[in-house]
Amino acid sequence: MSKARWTTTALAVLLCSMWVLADQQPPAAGAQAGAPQGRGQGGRGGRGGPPRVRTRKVVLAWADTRNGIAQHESVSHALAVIERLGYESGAYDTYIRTDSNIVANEPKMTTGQPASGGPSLASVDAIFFLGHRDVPLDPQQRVELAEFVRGGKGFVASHTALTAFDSWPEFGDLLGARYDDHPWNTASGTIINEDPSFPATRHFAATFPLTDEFYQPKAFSRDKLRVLLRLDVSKMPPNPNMRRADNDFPLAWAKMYGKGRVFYSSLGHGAEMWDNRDIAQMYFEAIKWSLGLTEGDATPRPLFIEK
Amino acid sequence: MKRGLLAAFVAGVILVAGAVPRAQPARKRVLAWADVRNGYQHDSISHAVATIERLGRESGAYDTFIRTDSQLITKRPITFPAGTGIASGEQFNVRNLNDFDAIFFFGVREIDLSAEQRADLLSFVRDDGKGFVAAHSAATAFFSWPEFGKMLGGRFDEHPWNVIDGTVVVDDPTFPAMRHLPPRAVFHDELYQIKDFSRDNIHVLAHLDATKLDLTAPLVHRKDGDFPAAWSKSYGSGRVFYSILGHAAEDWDNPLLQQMYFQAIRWSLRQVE
Repeated sequence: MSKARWTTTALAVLLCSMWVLADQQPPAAGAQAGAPQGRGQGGRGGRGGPPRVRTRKVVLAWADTRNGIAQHESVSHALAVIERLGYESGAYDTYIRTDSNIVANEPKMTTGQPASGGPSLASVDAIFFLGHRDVPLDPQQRVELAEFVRGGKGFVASHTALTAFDSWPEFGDLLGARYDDHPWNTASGTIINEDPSFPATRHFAATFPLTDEFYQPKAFSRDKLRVLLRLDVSKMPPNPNMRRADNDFPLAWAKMYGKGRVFYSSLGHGAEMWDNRDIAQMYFEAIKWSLGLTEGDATPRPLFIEK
Repeated sequence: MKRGLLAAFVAGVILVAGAVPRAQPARKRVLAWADVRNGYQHDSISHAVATIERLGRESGAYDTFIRTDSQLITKRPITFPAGTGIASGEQFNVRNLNDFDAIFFFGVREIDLSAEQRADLLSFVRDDGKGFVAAHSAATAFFSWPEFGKMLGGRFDEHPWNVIDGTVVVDDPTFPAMRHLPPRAVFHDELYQIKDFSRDNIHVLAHLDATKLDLTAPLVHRKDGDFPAAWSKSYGSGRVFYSILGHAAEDWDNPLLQQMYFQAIRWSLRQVE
């Protein structure tokens, strides 16, 4: 890395910290190394100490990408950002996992024996999901995952999550849509904020520009989900892979699955997207909403396009 | 007006093209590997790997790939069942050990690796000269695999005092991962007793001050008071670092501990000597 790039990076990090520190929401992106924020609740001791009393919510940041060829370069950074936002704010603790063993009420070891303690679906409050394609869950795990959300836990999913579990119809109902290509690959677009009152989209302007890989959702119905962000397709160049005649192109939505709160957005393809404080804040607020820490209206609404 | 727009467009294209760092050498890649499926998952592990990721990204020293499974511990091409690919069907973004420059290892107990994966992991360090930096519960890993013990340099032998204030005495203040530490520093941590090591094979960088420890505690097996807290060693042509520190999530907020592991990774990547 050249000296100039170093300086630029350092300056960007510094500016970013100052900017975010001034606002404090989400917590400082480049906070001083070691600054203890959001600590002192309960502690996280392990064996040997007194039994731990957990006072914070627990999020499983789950990104099983073993069964497909497209682990995005951004996945690890996204997981680390989700962890940091929870840790520094004190809103939640995060377990990062790229395997799926703890997606079960009674997790198993790789040998099939019961795991020795540790996290499980019974002990986490929400899942942040960034897997892709056919995630290896056995039928029992699928049932338990669906029950986890239906029973009232949170499920926040990002980008490639839309490509997951093609062979599992119920997952489509849970998430609200399926993946149907990204017609423009990575392109700049104009995004319409359909709901500036929802916690995860409150900080966005009514319309705003963004460059990302916009996924085209299919198999969704506005009777079942509340679209929060939509791509303004009228401003995109014509594309043969753009399949919706009504130009309805949701980029973020909230919905209920049973008693559980579900949020999905396709934004976040590149690692640098997770340094974009607006995107980070969207996911942070979505997780808090899914945990029941904030309220937002997920009532479905029809598409309304101003003429 | 039209010409102005065109000029602006062209200037924009040049700017965007110029911003793509295509000609620059790729950043070093670190695999943060914490397969915890077969043992107790320390609550600190996720915060530790996220911290390691942040230190690399913010400094620009390396990019991190976090995995709690062991799929990438192989030099063989990773293949997938038919139908799991995306549109183009290309095998892009599929990485294996050959794509990494170092491993940060925070696993625990018996990890499910095939014989071939084990051989590839050893070869990654020994033959390829790559780095292997390991933290805390890493010393509990692979007890059934003698060669791993040789590569790491020591084994876990209980934590007789559980979580206490321990005084860490620096033995080699010139080593990159030690330079920032005071000669003696107190760490509140779950202090491991290490066994099966020889000072002929490892370079002890710091040790626990045994005069401050209760040597009558039931699980204390080491009678000569030699309790290494961090060491470096080579394994073949690769560089290996281990420290007992990092039990709790909060420990990873301590700048002294962060710097130790960050500089150890940079050393293992040959960014510092």
